[in-house]
Amino acid sequence: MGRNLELAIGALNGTVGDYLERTGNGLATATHIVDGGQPLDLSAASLAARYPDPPRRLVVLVHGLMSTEDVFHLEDGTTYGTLLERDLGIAPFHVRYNSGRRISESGASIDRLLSDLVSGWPGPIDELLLIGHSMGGLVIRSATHVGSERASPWVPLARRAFYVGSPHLGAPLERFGNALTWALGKLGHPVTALVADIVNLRSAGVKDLRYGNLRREDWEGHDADALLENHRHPAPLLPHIRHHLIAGSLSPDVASTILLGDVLVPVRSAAGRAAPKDRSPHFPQEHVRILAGMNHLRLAHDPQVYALIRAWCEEALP
Amino acid sequence: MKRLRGLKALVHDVVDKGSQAVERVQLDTAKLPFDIVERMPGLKVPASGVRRIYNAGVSNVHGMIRLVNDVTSESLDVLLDVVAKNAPPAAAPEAEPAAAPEPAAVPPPERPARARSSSKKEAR
Repeated sequence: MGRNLELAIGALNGTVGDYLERTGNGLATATHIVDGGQPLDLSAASLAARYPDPPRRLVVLVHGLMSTEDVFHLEDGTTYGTLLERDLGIAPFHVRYNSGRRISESGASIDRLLSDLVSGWPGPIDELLLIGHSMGGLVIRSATHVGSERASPWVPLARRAFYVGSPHLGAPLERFGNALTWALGKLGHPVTALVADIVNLRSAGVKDLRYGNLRREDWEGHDADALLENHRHPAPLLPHIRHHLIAGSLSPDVASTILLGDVLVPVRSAAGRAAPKDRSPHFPQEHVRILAGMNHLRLAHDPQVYALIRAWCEEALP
Repeated sequence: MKRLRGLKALVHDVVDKGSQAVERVQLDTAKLPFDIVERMPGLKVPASGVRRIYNAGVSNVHGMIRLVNDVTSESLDVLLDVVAKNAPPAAAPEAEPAAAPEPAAVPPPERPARARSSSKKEAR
C-alpha cells in the first residue's frame, strides 16, 4: 500500500506537479534524498552518525518523469546505486523530486541538495557520480549548469555523469501532444477547446521535454502552449565531466528502430546527436551505447545497463 | 494529514474547475442554435426568452455544484482539524526533510509528510 501510494503520488506530481506546488498542495513532493524510505537529514552530525566510515566516492541517482526512486529497483530489490556500493564501495543516494516542476527548477533544487550533501559529508570525497534516468538526466544537466554558475562545491567533484534514456534533444511524444492541442484549440469548437485545455493541464515538466529545456531562459517569457517553438539556450557540457549516454532501442535490431528508440525517446535524442537546429551541444559519441531490445522503463533497472555503468566507473579518469 | 488535506484540495479544485469548464461548453454549444433561431421571423422574442432561461438554468446548476463542493471542502477541513487535534503524537505531522528551499521565483512548496517505505527491500 505504502509503495503504491508513493508511486501514485510520484505519477501525480509528474502530471500536475507544477500546479500542486503553485497552490501549496500537500501532495507536492519536495526535493530530498530518500534513505530507507525516509528523507535523509543532510546535517553534518546526522551524516557522520549515518556514515561512520564514509566512502570517498558517492553516486547520486535521479529518477525520471512521473516516477520515484523505485524505478531503479531491479527484480532482486537492488538498484544501480546499491550494486555500485556492493561492488565498488560507492555510497548511493537516491533523489526524489517533483517531476512536474520545470526542469530548471528541479535542477536548481538538486544543486542545493548536492551542495548540502558534500558540505556535510563526514570525510573526503574523491568523486561524485551522477546517474539520471529519462528526465533525471536532464535534471542532472540543469543542476550542473546552475552549479557551475554558482560555483557550487559539488561541481568539481562530479567527474562522470550517466544519462540513461534521457531526451537531450526532446521527446517526439510531447511535440505531438503540443501540435495536437494547438490544432484542437484552433478548431474553434467548444468541445475541442475543452479537450485542448484539459490536455494542456499537463505539467510544465512534461512540456520541458518537448525540446529538452534545461535553463530558466528556455521557458521564461514564452507561451508554453505555442506551436513547436524551441527557445533553448546553450547549456555547454562541462569539460571536466565525462558524459556517458545509454540509449535503448525496442527491437533487437538497432537499425530498424533507430527512429523509434525506446518507445518514448528516439536514439538520436538519447545519444545526444545534436544538429544546429536542436540548440543543444553535440555529445561526444565515444561514450554512447545503444542497447537493443530495451524499452524506456527497463533502462532504469536492467543488469545489462548496470554492467555498462560499472565498467565505466572502473575506468581510470585522466 | 498534510497529504490528506492535499488530496481534499485537489478534488475540490478538479470539481470546481471541471464545473466551470463544462458550464462554459454548455453555454457555448447552445449559443449557435439560439443565434439561428433568433434570426427567424417571429421567433426572436420567444427564442431569446428560452435562451435566458437556459443560460440561467445551466449557471444555477453549476453554481449549486460549486457551492456544495465548497461547503463539503470546508466541512472536511473542520473534520481534519478535529482528527489532527485528537491524533496521538506519533500520528502528528513529522519533521520536514532536510531539503534546500525552493527557488524564490515560485511559491515554495509545502514539505511532504515523511514518506513511507517505498523500497522493495523494506516491503519485504
